[in-house]
Amino acid sequence: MTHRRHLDLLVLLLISVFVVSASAAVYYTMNAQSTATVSAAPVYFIAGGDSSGILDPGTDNTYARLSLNAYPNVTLTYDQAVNITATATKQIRLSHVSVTPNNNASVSNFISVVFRLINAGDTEVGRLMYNTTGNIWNTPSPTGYIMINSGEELAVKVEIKAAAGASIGASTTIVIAVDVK
Amino acid sequence: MYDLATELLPEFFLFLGVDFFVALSLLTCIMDYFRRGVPYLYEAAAIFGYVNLLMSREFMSAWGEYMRFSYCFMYLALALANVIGINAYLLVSKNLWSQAKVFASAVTFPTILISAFFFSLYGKDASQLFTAALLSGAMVLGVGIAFLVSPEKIKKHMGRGGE
Repeated sequence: MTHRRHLDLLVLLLISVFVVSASAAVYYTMNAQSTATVSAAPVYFIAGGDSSGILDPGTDNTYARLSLNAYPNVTLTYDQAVNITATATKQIRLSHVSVTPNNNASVSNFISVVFRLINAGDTEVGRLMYNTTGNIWNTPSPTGYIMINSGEELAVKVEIKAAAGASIGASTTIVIAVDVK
Repeated sequence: MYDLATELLPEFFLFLGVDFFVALSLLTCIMDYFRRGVPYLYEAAAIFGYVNLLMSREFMSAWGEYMRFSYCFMYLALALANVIGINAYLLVSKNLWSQAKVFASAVTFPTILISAFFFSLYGKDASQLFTAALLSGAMVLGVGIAFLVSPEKIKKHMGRGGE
């Protein structure tokens, strides 16, 4: 190679390093940009047949607080404690978040709390079962993902059983999540 | 199904095209078969791609993803056409069979493979596949026309020079 070609190569190499690194930096900044647009949640809670007096729907129906009763040595069932519906076809599941108190003497006042997902055909499509062993709540694994079509309603059926001789006023708070994908 | 940690943006094809043009610039500078201006021309093409990348960032929200994909892929197709063109130039015009074979296996084939790989990761729907096929077809047609109207020497080599 001639001296001039060496010089050309050096110049081109310098420009190349600049162009490639600058392009990579620009692409990286583009990748780091993100746009968040607020839109209505495609899956939300609605009142079910047994929601009256127990359901406190959160703002925009994306949160539901249920105040349920439990009686000693008997299973109390809420067939439609709250319903879940969708505006687009999605997959949902129920998963455990927290249970309080736990590892505490008051836990033994309860036997079980079961959340069942029931479809329009009255078939159970998912179940989240909490039961106690002494002072410990046994927490469940998430249900499998269940398809929910636009406009379809899935009922959340809750069954609660308190222990025989349970203390009046004992309470527990269970937080579960509806995962959507 | 496996997902990429970060989804590819359409501008990735622009970035890939810039890299190919830069590589072409350096390769044509090293090889003695090209005029002095050719590497600078490819460097200019790379800078043009970089400017496009900058513009794309500024107008990212205004342009739809399909439009961004179309012009980014067109730029990449142009870069690939040049890689193939250089290969064909070595083979047909310069009659350098061994160099052309080395270039094909070391540069042309890997660049096409890399492009196809990233397109397979990005391509989500039929419209993108259709656009890519259309642009690739146009690129092949462009290269073909370039050969038809190419200098007499190439035509001669192809057996039509004496007509």
